[in-house]
Amino acid sequence: MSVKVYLLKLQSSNWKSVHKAILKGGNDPAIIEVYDILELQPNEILIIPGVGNISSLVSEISVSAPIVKVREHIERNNIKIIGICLGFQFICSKSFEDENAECLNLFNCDVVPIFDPVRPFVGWCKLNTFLSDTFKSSLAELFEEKDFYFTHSYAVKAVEINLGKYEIYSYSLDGSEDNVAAIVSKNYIGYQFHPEKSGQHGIKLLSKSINLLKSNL
Amino acid sequence: MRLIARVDVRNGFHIKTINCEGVEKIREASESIKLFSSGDNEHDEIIFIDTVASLYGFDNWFIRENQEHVYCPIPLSIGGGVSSVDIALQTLERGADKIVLNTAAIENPSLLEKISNLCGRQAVILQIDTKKINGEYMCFTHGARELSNYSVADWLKQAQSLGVGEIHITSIDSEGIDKAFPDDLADLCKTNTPLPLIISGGLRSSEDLCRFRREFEIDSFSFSSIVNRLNFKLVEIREQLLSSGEEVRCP
Repeated sequence: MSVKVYLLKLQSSNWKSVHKAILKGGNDPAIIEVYDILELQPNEILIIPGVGNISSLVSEISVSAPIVKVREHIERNNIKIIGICLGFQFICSKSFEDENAECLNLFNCDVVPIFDPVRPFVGWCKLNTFLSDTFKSSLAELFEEKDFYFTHSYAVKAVEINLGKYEIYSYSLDGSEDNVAAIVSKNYIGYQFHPEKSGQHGIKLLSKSINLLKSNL
Repeated sequence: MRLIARVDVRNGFHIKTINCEGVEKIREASESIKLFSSGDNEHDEIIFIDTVASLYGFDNWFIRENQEHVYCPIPLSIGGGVSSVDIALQTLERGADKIVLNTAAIENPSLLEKISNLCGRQAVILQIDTKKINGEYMCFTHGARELSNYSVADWLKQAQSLGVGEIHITSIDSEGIDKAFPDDLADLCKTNTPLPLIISGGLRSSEDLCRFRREFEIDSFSFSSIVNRLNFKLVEIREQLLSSGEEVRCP
């Protein structure tokens, strides 16, 4: 059975770059507007890109669909999600960038500033395997091979999460605890880095991520 | 270490510059995007600066030449003539990941805040072109031609509160020639900002990069001459850096 893949068209994102990276990887996602999120069908895949700040992204989505309804719809219909950078932070519990911005809470972890006072980290990093005792996906080798491109001021701290049977990768910075770089579960994948800006390897990771979710019916 | 391709653009051509003045064409600017985002010359990022857009008051090359979105598989920063929020949004819409501002930011610092609030701090790079005037590093605008009232130290101190995400600083006097980026400027920058810092102008070899990393803890470099004039492939520079014990990405 062919599983449909959708890319969420958000103003608070670089969705066109994500779209072209996915196309180069061999998938052809349909573009979906925010007001159509609740039309997603069972087992379909939604890619949520994101750059900028969490308030803009949440207000853009919540104008069309209450966040609680979006979450219910995703869980009830077994919809698969790939969240990228701010899109990943949106599927976490809440972000300290704006605690009033309601997030999806698909991953039970908070998003906090990397540094105090707040300033961005920008650069390429190798990833460490933080937790994969009970689950190891077909993406594992890709995470371990190459560097990925990060640009963000907020992150999930690796020490603070206990997500059970999830596969978690982190990266280290001077003056900061380890930050979560990627979380992979059966239905949800979150990337703090930008695979669409991580060269050919990032394009390959996006492609394999979509294929992994397609196989997890 | 971040190795960034610096591409100065004039009339659609990537140009060779000396002290920030264009002296000859190298290739079409669009060809440089392809060249520096794959193969042996893949960099970690690309910074394009339209060197005459602010001077002549027109839109930057990226907006003028590209009606459609341009995809670059590594981060792409575009600067030159970004004088309003609308132009910044148009530039991002066509495929830039970050906006580089200099002239308009000095003329109207609140523009930095507006773009940062709308597009995020990560999308805003403050370009500083500088040389010493009466012993003090001063900021220049309009493609490094016009002296502003800002000293580098004062401008750097303001940058973080204005929502800037990164600093890209060019030493005008050492740009494009066989002269090193000045140590006292590297020191001044590290002392006056906690923001991610990219230095440019006077980086001629992997040894230069190693030295600034070791002595000043600067890890982001944008350069042109190493690849375009001295004819090193970036893969060779990466190998030299690796053998010197530096951490670099191997695409």
